[in-house]
Amino acid sequence: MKVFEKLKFILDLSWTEYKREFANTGLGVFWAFFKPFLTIAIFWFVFSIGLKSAPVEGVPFILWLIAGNIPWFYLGEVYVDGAMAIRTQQHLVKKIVFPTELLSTIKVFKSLYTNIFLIVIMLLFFMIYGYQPNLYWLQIIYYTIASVVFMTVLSRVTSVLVVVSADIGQLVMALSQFLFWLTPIIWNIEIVSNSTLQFILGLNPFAYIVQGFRDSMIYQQGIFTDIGHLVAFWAICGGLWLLGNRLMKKFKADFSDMI
Amino acid sequence: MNDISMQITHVDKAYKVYDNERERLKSLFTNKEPKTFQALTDVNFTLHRGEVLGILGHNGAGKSTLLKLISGVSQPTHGEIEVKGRMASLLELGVGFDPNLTGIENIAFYAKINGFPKEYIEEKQQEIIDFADIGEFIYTPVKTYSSGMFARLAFSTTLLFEPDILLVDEILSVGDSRFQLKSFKKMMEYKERGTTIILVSHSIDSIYNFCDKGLWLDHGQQKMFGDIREVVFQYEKFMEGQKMMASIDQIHADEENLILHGWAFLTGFEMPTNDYGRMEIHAVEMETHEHIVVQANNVERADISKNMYINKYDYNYDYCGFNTHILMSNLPKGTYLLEAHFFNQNNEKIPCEENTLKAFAGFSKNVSKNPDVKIYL
Repeated sequence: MKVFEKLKFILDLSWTEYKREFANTGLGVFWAFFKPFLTIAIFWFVFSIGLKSAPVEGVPFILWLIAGNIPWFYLGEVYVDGAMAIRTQQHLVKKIVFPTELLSTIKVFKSLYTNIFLIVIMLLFFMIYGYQPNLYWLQIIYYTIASVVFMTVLSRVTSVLVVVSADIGQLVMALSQFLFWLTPIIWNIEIVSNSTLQFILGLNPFAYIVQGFRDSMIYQQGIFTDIGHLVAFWAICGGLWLLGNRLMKKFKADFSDMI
Repeated sequence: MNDISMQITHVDKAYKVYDNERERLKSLFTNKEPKTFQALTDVNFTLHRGEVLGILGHNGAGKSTLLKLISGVSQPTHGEIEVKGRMASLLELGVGFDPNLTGIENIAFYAKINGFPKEYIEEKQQEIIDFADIGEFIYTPVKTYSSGMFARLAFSTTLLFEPDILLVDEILSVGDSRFQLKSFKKMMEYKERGTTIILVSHSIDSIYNFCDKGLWLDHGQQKMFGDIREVVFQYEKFMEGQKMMASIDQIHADEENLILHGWAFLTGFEMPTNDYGRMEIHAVEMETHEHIVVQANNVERADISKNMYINKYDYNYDYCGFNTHILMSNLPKGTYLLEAHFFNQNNEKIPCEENTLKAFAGFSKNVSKNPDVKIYL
């Protein structure tokens, strides 16, 4: 398939899958948004009301929170779904000839539809709180594309590993919680006083995207302000891409025999 | 030739075998080749358009593996598989249906991943629904289906999108007989139009009736490829060996003579010959167990019976008659049980399913009217 055909195929199937996820529920697409809202409400309640978190650098805590949490909803969901993409869809691997290398990417796009909607809601929230749209908000497009690219290359790798070994599957799941807390989502990376450690924590691609959302929405930092992390992010993506290609090449022919 | 539809050359398949999960984990980090299990070795054949191939073999012979390789779901370790045209496969009752989608959605999904144009899908959809004939269930998720309904929908979807090559693995054993018949008819219709079909089934009857070519696999080795009659015959002979079963229709007895008239069913004999060998009637003295051969007959094909038999059995059984005259004055005074023994052309004794004539007659009966010699069947 040519690149354009592939993209069309992915968009088509991911949209079908998106619709399907809610097809069997009475309230349908409501559930796609209910969970993120609930999570934000709990965090807001715990941190704002319970722990009385002060506004972060003059920004109401709730805004600061959703700017980081909205991208994580996407990243966290795709991290799990993408890794399991091949293993859980045996009917497409064992029974018919299907381009299995696209299965994880279909998951990446499937979750994107909800994500885009959540981003729009995030923007509305900021406007309700009196923030004027500005050019930095456009950077959200860049960071969304970056997260799609990163999740595509990452889940290509994890989806193959999970097929080859059930132990890797367990590891991937275990790391999911770990990643949530390692990434500065509900804590501010600025509180890390050691600047070397702060830099290292920022190398985490998940952190790059979450920080990018905050930079654009709150701190008004340009994409190229932090060249170090920018280069690191895309270098990691490149590395994962190559690794994914290698793993696909080595194991793809055996998928149907392995699951 | 131009009408070649499929060519399989020197195809091998070795599955990687990992002793445990740890071995699999290790395989990620090393290039060491794992142990393998040889599922298929050197399979070769060519099929032309409109031919129907039946694959025979016991469980684990590699039938399903071969279908998976041809369908492209699994890759051969060595060798080449060349296929012309669009292929559709029904492997072990699956066609890539998602259990959470309804029947209709699955049809659409199937069409989508096969890349059919929209108008064609719309045109075919109703046809598929009608053919599957599962009523309102078409609107409920596939996971609620009975296995029969699932098979019907899977079969209809695969078949009605008119593949050039159709692979069918055991699917027809699931549907009821009416659906099976309907499906066979439809497949025949497509075969006439040039669809190449490969069938795996444990029902040798359906393979024999439906296929032109046969492929016999044994422990992953290709034992035979050729005309279906020849392959099924050799396969049956190999699997079942030569067997015989006899039954008695009529008994005539007076003081001196005993005449037995009956039939024998023969399994695993060469078809064209008329000479099946020999039948001996033994009189076994009931107290001493001494055998006396009272009559030996050549067993001959009962030609009249050939027409009586329906076609479906003629690959497997043949039918012959015997007419035996026993002169009882040859027997010393005593009480005897009659037994029938059968020998093939090589004078080897053929195992008989029930070895005494008594069993064939269905009851024990004293047939002799001579008070000195008592004969039981």
